[in-house]
Amino acid sequence: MAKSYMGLILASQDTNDIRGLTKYRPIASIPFAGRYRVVDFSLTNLTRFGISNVGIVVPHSYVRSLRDHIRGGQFWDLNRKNGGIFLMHPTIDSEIGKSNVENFRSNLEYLHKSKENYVVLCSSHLVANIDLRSIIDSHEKSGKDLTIVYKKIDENIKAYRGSTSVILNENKEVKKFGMVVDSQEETNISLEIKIIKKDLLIDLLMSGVQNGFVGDLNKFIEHSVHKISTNLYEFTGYAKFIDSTKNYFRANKDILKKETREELLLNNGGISTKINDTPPAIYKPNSKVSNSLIANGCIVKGSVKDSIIGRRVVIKKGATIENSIILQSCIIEEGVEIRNVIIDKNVTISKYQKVIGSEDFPLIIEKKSLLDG
Amino acid sequence: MRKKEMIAMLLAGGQGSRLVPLTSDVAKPAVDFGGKYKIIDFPLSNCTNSGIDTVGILTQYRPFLLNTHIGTGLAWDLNSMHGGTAILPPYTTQEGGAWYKGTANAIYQNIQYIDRYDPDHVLILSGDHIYKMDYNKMLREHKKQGADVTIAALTVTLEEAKRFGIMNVRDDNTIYEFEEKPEKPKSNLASMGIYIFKWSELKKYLIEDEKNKESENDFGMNILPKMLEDGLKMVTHPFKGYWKDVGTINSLWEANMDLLDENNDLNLHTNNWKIYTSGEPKGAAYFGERAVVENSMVVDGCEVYGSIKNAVLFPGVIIEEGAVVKNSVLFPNVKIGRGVILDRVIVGENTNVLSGTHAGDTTIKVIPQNKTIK
Repeated sequence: MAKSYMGLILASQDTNDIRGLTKYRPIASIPFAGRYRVVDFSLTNLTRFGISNVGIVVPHSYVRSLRDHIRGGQFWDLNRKNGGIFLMHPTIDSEIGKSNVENFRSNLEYLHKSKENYVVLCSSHLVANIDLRSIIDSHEKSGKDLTIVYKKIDENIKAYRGSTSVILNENKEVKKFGMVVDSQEETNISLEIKIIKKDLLIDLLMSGVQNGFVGDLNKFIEHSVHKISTNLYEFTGYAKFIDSTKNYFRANKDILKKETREELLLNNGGISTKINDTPPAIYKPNSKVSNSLIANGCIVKGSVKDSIIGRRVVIKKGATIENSIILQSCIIEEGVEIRNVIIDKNVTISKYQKVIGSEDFPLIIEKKSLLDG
Repeated sequence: MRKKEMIAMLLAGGQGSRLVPLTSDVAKPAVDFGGKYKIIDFPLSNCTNSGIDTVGILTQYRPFLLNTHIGTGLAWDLNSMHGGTAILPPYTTQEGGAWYKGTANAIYQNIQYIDRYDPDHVLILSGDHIYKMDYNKMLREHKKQGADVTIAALTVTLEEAKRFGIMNVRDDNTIYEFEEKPEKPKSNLASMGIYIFKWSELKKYLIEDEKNKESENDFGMNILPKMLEDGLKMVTHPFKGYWKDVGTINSLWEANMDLLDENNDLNLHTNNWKIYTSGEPKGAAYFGERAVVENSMVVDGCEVYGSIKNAVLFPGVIIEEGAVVKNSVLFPNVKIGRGVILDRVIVGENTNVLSGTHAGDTTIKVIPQNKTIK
């Protein structure tokens, strides 16, 4: 029953490898696939199952864009009298936002007050469309105190470098946790989705604080896994972490594949996001578009190929855009040539400029103003 | 309940009989328009943008889709603790019940609702025109003139004038003559069916009109002529800008085609007078390797693999490779199969056209909703 579950989203990930896009925002609110923000996936996965009480552990700084996106939670049906959305800010004296264990403790009252008995814990930078019901069923059937969700990876291991790996023993039980390195043939990565009894989570938090553990809640639970009866759930669908510029670029490009697009954006009734009331896009004579995603509000007079274009982007005559991601409200002037580039919001590229990155390292053009999220 | 200076009453019960089959299962205000909107989004968004926070929506014909669309009014920012939207269908009393007999009777039956807000003025709107208008500006004019009634007015051709309420005015915009749908129009100044009344006056006249068994209980036929006769102060509020009554299949098609010119007068792309609508968000539009797109409007949730020219697509439309769509309007979730050719067609919601060539001529062809054309 969804009524006995609450959601907790950790949104204070390290942003070192995706710096250009996180200068003024957490990973959670990076625009994705032309019209979403990364956190929409976690929020939708939780609320679609019927969870109506969701806490978000926010980072120390630049929360404004996340707050602006989430508002009162109405887009995910979280504008509630009971439960709803709850942003957990780090307190002034907690470790510089790095420790969400400490952060939780200062927000313990929220956990105590919540009526639900179980917590679904997840991370805001995971892009996956997950039907929680089957994970919850598996958890309830197992009778264990904790369920950990993992995904088997046997190709392109590099893309998961640095992720947490779940090491199993011969009985397919969790032995321990490690870290993914390039040289592996295959591995199981943790999707950082956990189901745990609320009281047990509170106990863990208290003991973590008592023992001076400073750091990530996921790590702390993994650290304690030998003391907890643990159930495993294997997820076989599409799942990627947005944890580096390269992975951000790849995940966006994945959406251009029909099967990925359908799985991520259409399955289970689609992904909910903030409504912006943008008018339809207009394509003028002489525009050329192929293998691209283009969001509402754009005015397209140039040509777009293998790219993802956000809302209200103006692409003038003779401009060519290839293998690039352009976030909302940019203006691409006449005759501009763009290739292998990520352009953040509100940027104008002036006439006849060439902006060309390399395929392996897309160039990031940072957003122009701090005026909006 | 907080007192309001002005509330709006939106007449949304229209059947839109000239839009059949598109209105066979929805009311005219719920008909799709402009790539992602429904007709009623325009007056509703005008209310929001004009700062009106209380809107009574009078429904009668086929209300389900309209009710679902409006929901709590959230999409238009009209979900207020102190007003917001209210759906007002006809109802029964101890004396029996009655459908809304005419526009005036519809308001009469909702006097109780209006009185809750004790408004100084009431704005009467209809839910079947496409336009942007600042009702607050009209209210300022109405108060400045000290008018009992202000009627938004538009200049039409003498030929069109036969379909409207026609007014004659003095230099200061005060009205001295009003004729509803005249055989021989004396001027080309037409009422847009948008009125601001002093509520105290209107209430009096509605109660009187209800007692009159001869009356059609209609604003244009009965209430306005009677007020004029009694010497109430009536003025016009001249309107300039895009205005379209999408009452026929051809005018609905034309109004959609108007939007393909990025400098059209309706200007959906401005940020300072947004048109709001409700609905589920969908992913950005996808264009396949061999898509050809020319002078068209495409919206989130579309997948285009074939070729489109002068087309307006709504969310969820799929155009397969090898399909050619020209001069057409495709309502939500329409699928156009390989090899299909469409020209001057409107395709109703959820219809799959899997083969054939379908073309309209001087009259636009309509392929009805929820069909599969094999």
